[in-house]
Amino acid sequence: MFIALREIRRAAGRFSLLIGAVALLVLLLLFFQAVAGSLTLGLTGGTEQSSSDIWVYDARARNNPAVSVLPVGVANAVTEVEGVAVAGPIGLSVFVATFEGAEVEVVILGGDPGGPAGPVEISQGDRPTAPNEAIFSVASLAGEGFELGDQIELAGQAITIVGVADDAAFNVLPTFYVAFETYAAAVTDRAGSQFEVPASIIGVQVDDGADPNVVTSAIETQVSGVTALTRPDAVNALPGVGTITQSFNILYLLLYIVVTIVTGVFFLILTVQKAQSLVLLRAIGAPKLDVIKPVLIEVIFVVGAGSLVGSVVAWGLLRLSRDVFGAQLGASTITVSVGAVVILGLLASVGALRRVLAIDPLGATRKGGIQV
Amino acid sequence: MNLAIKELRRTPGRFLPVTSAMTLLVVLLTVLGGFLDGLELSQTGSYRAHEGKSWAFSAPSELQVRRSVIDANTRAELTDSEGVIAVGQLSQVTTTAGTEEAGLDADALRDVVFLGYELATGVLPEPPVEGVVVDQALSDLLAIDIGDDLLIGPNAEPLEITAFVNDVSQGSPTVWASTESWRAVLGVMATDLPPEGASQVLIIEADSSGVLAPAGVQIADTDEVIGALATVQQQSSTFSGIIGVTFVVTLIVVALFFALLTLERILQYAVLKAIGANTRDLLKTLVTQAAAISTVAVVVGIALSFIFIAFLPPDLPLRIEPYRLVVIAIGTLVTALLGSLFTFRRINRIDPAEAIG
Repeated sequence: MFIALREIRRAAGRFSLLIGAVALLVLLLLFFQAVAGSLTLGLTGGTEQSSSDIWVYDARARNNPAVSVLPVGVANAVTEVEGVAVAGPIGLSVFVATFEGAEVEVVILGGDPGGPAGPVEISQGDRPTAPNEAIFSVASLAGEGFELGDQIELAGQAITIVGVADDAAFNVLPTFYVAFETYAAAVTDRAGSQFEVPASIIGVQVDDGADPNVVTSAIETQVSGVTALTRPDAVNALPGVGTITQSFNILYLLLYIVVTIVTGVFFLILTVQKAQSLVLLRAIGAPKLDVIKPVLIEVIFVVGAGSLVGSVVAWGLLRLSRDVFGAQLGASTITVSVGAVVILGLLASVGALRRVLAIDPLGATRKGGIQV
Repeated sequence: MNLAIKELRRTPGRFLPVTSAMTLLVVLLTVLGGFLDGLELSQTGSYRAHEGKSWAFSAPSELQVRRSVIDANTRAELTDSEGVIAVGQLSQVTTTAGTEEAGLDADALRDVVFLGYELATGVLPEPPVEGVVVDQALSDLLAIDIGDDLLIGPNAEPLEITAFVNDVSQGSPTVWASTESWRAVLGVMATDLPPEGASQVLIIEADSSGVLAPAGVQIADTDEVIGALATVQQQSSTFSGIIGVTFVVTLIVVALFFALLTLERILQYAVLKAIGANTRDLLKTLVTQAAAISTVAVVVGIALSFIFIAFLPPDLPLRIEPYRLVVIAIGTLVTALLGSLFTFRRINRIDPAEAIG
């Protein structure tokens, strides 16, 4: 401990540079995770928080609610299937609404907000009871935030927010849960003609005790031209989610490799550089453990300090850019990432430790010490 | 110079760790650059297909196609404007497309952006009277050919493929039909259609005098329209920032390595100074070594990146552009040179007297 700390104090510049490098890599890692988490939540939150146990799509929609189109009457056919408690049409589309004189892009989800179309929980207010009322959910990456009691104008209808649901947005946009008639009126207004507005999907709540997987199969067998997915499967099937996860996983992998290599390279060079001193230490009776301990302490110090600085800067940056990214860092994300970086740092020091262990005290009897 | 290269040749193992670290950083930079270009280019192809044309949006839409609606009267007004050669509608919806053989197999269907258009461009042919022009990317995914029927939309309306065009993707592959075919295929089943006679935007071909925007209309060129795509700009600034930080890490790694190398060689440098070498000569040695290391790292790193990317799923938005590789190569070289100069102060302080102890 004593030697390690003295060395860090004496070569503060070198250790600061390495701590800086590790901090920057941890900052990148945490920033990636926060942005990826927010992006994924903005895409999947609405589906994850849905009251429906099953979502039924048009069979040609590739399980994409934004593309799916189903006649409203399909809900009746789905209701007939054994195990289905409630089935209702859900319309989903992006509209331009007006809020305080400014235009804002929103997702309107039309259906029974108290039934399969609504979010499973609301954090503030109540569920709508009239066509001009809505539940609002903010998208973490969307700048626009609304509050209980705010009013937006959509296709000539004034819609008041009477309830707020957390993390239940679609398409990374502010999302309003309204009655199906309100959604249908907005669609026909945009199209400039009257027609029977189709649903995007059918939301299904199953009977108590019924297995959603069994009901899903029954729906697909008994209702033609549809695909049914349980809620967890619907979340995984959302377009873009898999690509985002894969892309960010690749970047995490590369960053973890770079952290390991940078730490390993630094300590390897440091060990080679002080080989002669280590030979002397061994020659005067220092056991192997005493020469290994300082290296391990230095690795933990460097990686720990780098992780701490990186985490604090990432947290601060994300707070400052909340309007842009809306992303936040969870304690678990920080703990897992920092834990992984520390473990990788220790693994990276194996090369340096092997060189230290290979030191022969007899080297001290030769000119210039032994080559390690 | 000679001394630097000789040392590199004699003890390559000494430089191996830092070369490996830099190589990995080049791989990271190349993959990040690939994502940056891949995301941007794969989302803007349909816009870039209208290079050289002007776009007309309804004024409050902030140049967002899906927020804009332009009615028939505005079109007539624009058509009659001075300097305007031709005006054509352009509208789009997201839907799916597949082939007869694939049926309803979800894996054989593809998400597509289906566009109705009227004006040919340098990329797009004249809209077919019946049939569709298809993004080459969709051809690769569905194994379709000219003359095949493509089943589009919720009703699986068949339209014959008349041509393929390259680099016109917009997040998903695009399919292009005449405005009339587009409306006929979608019918009332699509909930996102603009009113009959209207379109989301207008594409304008004008002479060099430019176009005067009527009231309630915003005219923009293709670059401005792409610049207004919030998602593209957000992704671009995020990835550019991350690439910048990666260069800083590269700088620190190189600076650290040469700082340690310099400490190790202080006695040799003192000897060299004692026999007449000056600080500039010693720095030249370090800079030469930094340039050699970074050149090897760039070459090996880029080669490894191509191998790495070849093993990634093909649907990831990754695209390696030659100019990006040049930027990464120059950036790495400059960063390494700067990093090697961090030891200037230490080398400058070396006293030739240290050579005699």
